[in-house]
Amino acid sequence: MDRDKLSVLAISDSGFIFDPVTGHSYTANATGLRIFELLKEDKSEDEIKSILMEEFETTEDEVSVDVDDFIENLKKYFLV
Amino acid sequence: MKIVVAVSGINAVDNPGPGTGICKALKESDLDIRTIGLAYDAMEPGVYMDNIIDKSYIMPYPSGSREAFIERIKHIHSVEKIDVIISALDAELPIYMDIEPVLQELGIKMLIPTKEMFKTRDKLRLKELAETIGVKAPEYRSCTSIRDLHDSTENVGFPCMVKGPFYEAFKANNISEAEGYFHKIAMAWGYPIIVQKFITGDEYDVIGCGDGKGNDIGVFAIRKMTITKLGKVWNAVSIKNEKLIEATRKVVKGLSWRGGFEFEVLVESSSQDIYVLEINPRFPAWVYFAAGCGINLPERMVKLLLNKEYETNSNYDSGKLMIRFTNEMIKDIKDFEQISTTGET
Amino acid sequence: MKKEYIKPYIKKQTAGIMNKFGVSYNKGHREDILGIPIGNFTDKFGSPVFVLSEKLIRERYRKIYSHFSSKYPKAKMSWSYKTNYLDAVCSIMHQEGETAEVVSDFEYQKARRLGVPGNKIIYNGPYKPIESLKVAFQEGAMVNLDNFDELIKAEDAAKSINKKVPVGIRVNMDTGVYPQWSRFGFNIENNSAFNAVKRIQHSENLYLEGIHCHIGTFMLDPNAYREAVKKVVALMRKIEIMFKINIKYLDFGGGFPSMNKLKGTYLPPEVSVPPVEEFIDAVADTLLEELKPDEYPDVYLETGRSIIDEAGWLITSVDAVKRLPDGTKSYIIDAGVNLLYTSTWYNYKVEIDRELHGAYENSVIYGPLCMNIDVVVESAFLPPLPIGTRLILSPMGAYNVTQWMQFIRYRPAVAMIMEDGSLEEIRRPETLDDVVGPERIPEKLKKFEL
Repeated sequence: MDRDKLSVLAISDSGFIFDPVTGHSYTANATGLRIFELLKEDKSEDEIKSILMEEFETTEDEVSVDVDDFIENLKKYFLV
Repeated sequence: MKIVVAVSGINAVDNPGPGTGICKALKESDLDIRTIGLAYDAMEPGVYMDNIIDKSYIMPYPSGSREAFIERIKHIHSVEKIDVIISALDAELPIYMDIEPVLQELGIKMLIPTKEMFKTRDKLRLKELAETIGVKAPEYRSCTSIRDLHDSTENVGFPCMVKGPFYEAFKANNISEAEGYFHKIAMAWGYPIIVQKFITGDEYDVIGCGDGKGNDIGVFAIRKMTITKLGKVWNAVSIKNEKLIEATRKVVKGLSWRGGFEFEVLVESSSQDIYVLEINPRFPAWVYFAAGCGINLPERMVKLLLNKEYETNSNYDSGKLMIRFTNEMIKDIKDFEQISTTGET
Repeated sequence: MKKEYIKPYIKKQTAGIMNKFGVSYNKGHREDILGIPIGNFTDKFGSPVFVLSEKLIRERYRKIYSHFSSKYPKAKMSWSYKTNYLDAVCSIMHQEGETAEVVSDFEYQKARRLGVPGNKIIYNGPYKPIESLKVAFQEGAMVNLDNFDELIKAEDAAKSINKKVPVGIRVNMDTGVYPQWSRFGFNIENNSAFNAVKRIQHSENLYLEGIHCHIGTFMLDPNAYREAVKKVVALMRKIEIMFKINIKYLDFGGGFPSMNKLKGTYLPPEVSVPPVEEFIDAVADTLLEELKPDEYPDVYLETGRSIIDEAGWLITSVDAVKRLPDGTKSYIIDAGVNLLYTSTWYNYKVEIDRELHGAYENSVIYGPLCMNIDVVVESAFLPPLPIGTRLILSPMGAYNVTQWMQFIRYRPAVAMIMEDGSLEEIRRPETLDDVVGPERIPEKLKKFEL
């Protein structure tokens, strides 16, 4: 996973993300933004999952599927 | 206190809606009006034109549920205290006709046709209407399948116009072109698709507004000078044509038309016969042309709805030109963020 | 305290579809059907389960019948069996006073078995085996003939039981509606209807008593019925004068729409579907305009879908969630197109059984069949659904439990919410014995070793 791109993204609290390199924009929800933060902090996928489990009312299975799905999406959008 | 008027169709793009023209007309009227744009997409140019549109909101599509549509208007109304809505898009008009009583209860006024009027001007019934006002209607067929299309084009002949139930019309020179347009329109707007005989001649348009009691509150006629590939007027000249105005008034009277309209006709080159092409149940995109020539129909409509005195004359000069042009605005991505994340400007 | 978990979400903004609210057809959730929690149905009958409401069926029928009968003095209604021929449903209709309208020997037998007398059955359809025609004539059913070959077959049937029997003819015509239904019955404009009557009146075993038409299905323009009534009445007049007979009944069939959203329509059904009263008015008003009081025949409507569609739901459960390679969210539910034949032409209303947070996105809902065509809803605007979420699909009352097929899975239970709020199973889920019952293995195939 290439995390360099994350640093150039303009991420606002509203969930709006602008990529100044490609000119594309995205919207994400709060959980999505939290994953962005953790990715920027260089956390591993497993670390992200356990942090989310600590912070939110959820199960390991659910978080695991969701985080994988989310990161898949980021790859698809060439954001990581 | 400002009068609050919400206007839809602020998509001033290559296939423009009338919304920005309406707002411009309202801003130039002698009323003190706060204009609210009702957009369906964050990229509708009107959203960014804060000189004529004070605030914009994104609306749920009219193809969604009626309840969601009402809920959104209720929300906007709770913030803005809307006095009048001017609906300017064909596809949303049925839903407004349906919810008008609900809006009325909220204190929001609209001048729009009833379902009955709307049906009478349906593209599928133009022939009957044409007869009652003493003009002609081009031969047409409605199609819901490719087989119908083949039968219809055989009947009507080429070239012919292939038209959607709400929007879009294309000239087809042969069956494969017709099929292409048929699928294209059906994908976007559903059925029926109309196949209409192509007639060579000059296209004229009359804009007007009916008070619902058989009177017009002003009419304004033009000849289309240039038309875009999408069939939209680009340049036009105002004209005074009694025959045309008379036919228009017959429509208004015959249907007791309520609301803005555009009466599209074609005068056949060979016979000089008037053919009615369409009656659009709303103001056309070039509504500002009339306002700029003194027939400010959006202003008159708002005054009528709010029981203020309004003009009804149709005194304008012929020979005025409308020059439409393209333009650019520079905005920040923040503006886009605002509308796309919150649904309002 | 941990925060509420909302599934993470990111979406690219694409020009032209940047609408925060989207095509949210029926965004929303429902926790119950007529006051009964969704879980009660699945606990009791399993998932998926079709649910019908006795109360809504009766109310809707009464609304339609009372409007019709207040407008036309000799109004009659006949229950279109093919719309939903579960015994419990038909019994409600017969309790309300509807006769039975059947279109096959199977339906005929089903109505007879339920206790409907032969002379309270209207027998329609383009194919009626000769044996069933004999039974129908013997029992005094109203038989509407579809074509010349059937006319001859009917003559033979009547001759073989030594009777002269009354028949009706099904007619078709141009009512200004496209596509025109021209494959059923005799055409009025090209005179084949008149010729059929001539043939009947010359027959020693048949005589004409009625005219039947059914101009289409899911009709959205009441005016088409005006046209139909005008043309049928004109034909009736012509026949009565030419042959000096009295037409006893006219039957205008069905075709009234329900609040289902047809694919290929832009507007929501609440806006595009006219109220049923407008259709009845079109029939009844035109009749009153065209007829003199002393010539009022019995007039039948065979309204099916419009009565029952909105009185039915399907409760189904999300079994798996998958993101497709193109990024589309998809769900697999436990009910497929084998149960939902009507998914071919409707975009159902999709409701979820609980309030869920998270960004809505257009998702595709797949059935459980191992077949690519098993798409129940092509595009539903849904928040992220956890496994086990129940979806309530509607309207479901019409056609599904008659057109469903047994394919790789058992057909599920059909439950009815009775007027008093109690729940009854009106069709139990199928078992292996139900499916293999009619099968027989030839002796030499009985043994195998693996």
